[in-house]
Amino acid sequence: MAKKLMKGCEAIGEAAIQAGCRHFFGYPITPQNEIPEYMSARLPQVGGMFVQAESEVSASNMLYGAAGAGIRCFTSSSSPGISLMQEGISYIAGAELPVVFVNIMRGGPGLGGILPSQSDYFQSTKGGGHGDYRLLCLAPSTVQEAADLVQEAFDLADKYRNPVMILGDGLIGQMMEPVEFKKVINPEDLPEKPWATTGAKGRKPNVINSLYLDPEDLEKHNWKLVKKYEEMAKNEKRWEVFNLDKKADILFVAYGTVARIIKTAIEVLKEKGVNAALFRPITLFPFPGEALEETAAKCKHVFVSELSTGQMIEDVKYHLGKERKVHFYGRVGGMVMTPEELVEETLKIVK
Amino acid sequence: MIFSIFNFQFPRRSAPGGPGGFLSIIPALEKLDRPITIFVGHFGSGKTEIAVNLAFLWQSIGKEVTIVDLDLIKPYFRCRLLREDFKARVIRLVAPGGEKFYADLPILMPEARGILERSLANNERVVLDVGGDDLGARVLGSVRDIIDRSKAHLLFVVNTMRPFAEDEQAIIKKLDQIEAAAQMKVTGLVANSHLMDETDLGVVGEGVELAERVSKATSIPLLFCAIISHLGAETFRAGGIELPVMPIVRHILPPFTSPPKGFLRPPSVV
Repeated sequence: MAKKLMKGCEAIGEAAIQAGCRHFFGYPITPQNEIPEYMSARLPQVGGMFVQAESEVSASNMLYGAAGAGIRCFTSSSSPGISLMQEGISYIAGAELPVVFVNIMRGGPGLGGILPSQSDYFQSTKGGGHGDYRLLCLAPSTVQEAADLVQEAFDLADKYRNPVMILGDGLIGQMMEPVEFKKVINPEDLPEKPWATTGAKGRKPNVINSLYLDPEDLEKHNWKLVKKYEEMAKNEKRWEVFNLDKKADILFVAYGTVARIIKTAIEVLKEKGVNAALFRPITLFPFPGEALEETAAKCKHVFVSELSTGQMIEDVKYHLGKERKVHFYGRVGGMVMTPEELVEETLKIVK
Repeated sequence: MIFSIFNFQFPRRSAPGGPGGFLSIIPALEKLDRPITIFVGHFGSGKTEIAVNLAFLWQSIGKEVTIVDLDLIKPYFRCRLLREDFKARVIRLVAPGGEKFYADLPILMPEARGILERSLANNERVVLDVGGDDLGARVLGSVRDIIDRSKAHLLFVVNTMRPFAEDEQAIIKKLDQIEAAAQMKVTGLVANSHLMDETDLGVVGEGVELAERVSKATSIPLLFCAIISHLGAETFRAGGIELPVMPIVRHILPPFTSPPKGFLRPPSVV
């Protein structure tokens, strides 16, 4: 497929289609409206189904039903809408259903604003809904990576029978970049899901459920889920290390758009004689803590930057230990740091 | 037919291309004899950057310019973000003020109507940047009472590298939908095929060729093509087509560019 110029949102939508997804259930909210808009135009062209639900709550329950029937399905929303979906997400995690969620984050809390933010890190990596569960959480930093990770997210969701969250700030959804789709999956070629509720013809019925009244059964179920999360932690950690040649004066830790701003800042810092590197987690859960530890050991200072008041920094500190000082710079409310701001902050630390 | 890159002749500028000196676009702009220029087109076809570049070009050749941000579709990367740049160049910007500056609501402020009316009365050049698709063009209905159609060019911007704009039929269908929503006829086409930083002359050529076919099918003239300035093209010549080139400088950039431009700089004075 030749390259196209696409908004992040459009690329996410097309990636889902190329991953064999034919079903979208959702509700509009800025800054990700281009995803449902795109899906509503594209899905009928490929024999799919687009449903604008009456709310995010119902969309997440439609996903529960569709995923239970064994089909690839996804939704997208932005922060307040994802909050509304938390009930469904918890049920989907409990019932072990593969669903891909996309959160194009805007500033919060509450209704907040429509400009970019990364303030849903806790929500995506530490719960959000109730109960002992985890989402596999992927954070793209370019439009191409958003497309690639969405395609991968469908495979990961099926592999682990677990919801996968694509976490992008508003800019990932709104900016335009050239993009290509590397693989094309026909829904008919996808492997069968023997656990799905497909009519029970000639076999025992399958049950999709998250209700366990017997505490012994529920405890067993919860520990079974934990085993799955441990498997994810073993197999699925992804990260990028940028500009680390043996040793660095300072290591930035950032994901999404902030990581790109830092890459520009690193070039500016080079000219000022400061050798800076970047550690960019691509999976936020499972968090690539060991790789971070190893990378940070080669760097004098550690500097976390987020479009939040400090959320991922808690994971960074957890992995680097109490003794290690971790610097922080955050912008919130939809304000976005410039490379120059980060250069200035860095010079204060290294000088 | 797809043009091969080798068929193109792009005369390079022999000296820094200051507007008025070497640009083939200036005489073409002079031919835009109506004071109002409205940009419409597919969502994401490049209307905003072309509108901004046009406003800057006109200002640089001594015209009084007003730019109207009528984009009710996209929430980010709107021309209103350049308000300091417009101010520095004495270009009047019409856009929602206060916190509505950041909103994505379908609003045209009453005071904006007033400014627009004054600009038109003074016979200034007025550039309207309208949101994408027929949905974006619908806003033109709300200003139809103050815009004299005989004084306005409605220019349809085409980037064939965008989804839903890949072939002649899709482009013509969108053009028809936009005309119906705007309640105006498109008076000219602008070829704007690009892939941002990955644009090459092959991409440009393919786009011009397709735009030319749309032009033939609709009898709407293809007025010029927009080409990212670093490619240095001054005139487009290929397959018997010769077009003036508007060299595009990207002004509304994401925040990871340095120095940052046009994204979320806090406004000083409205």
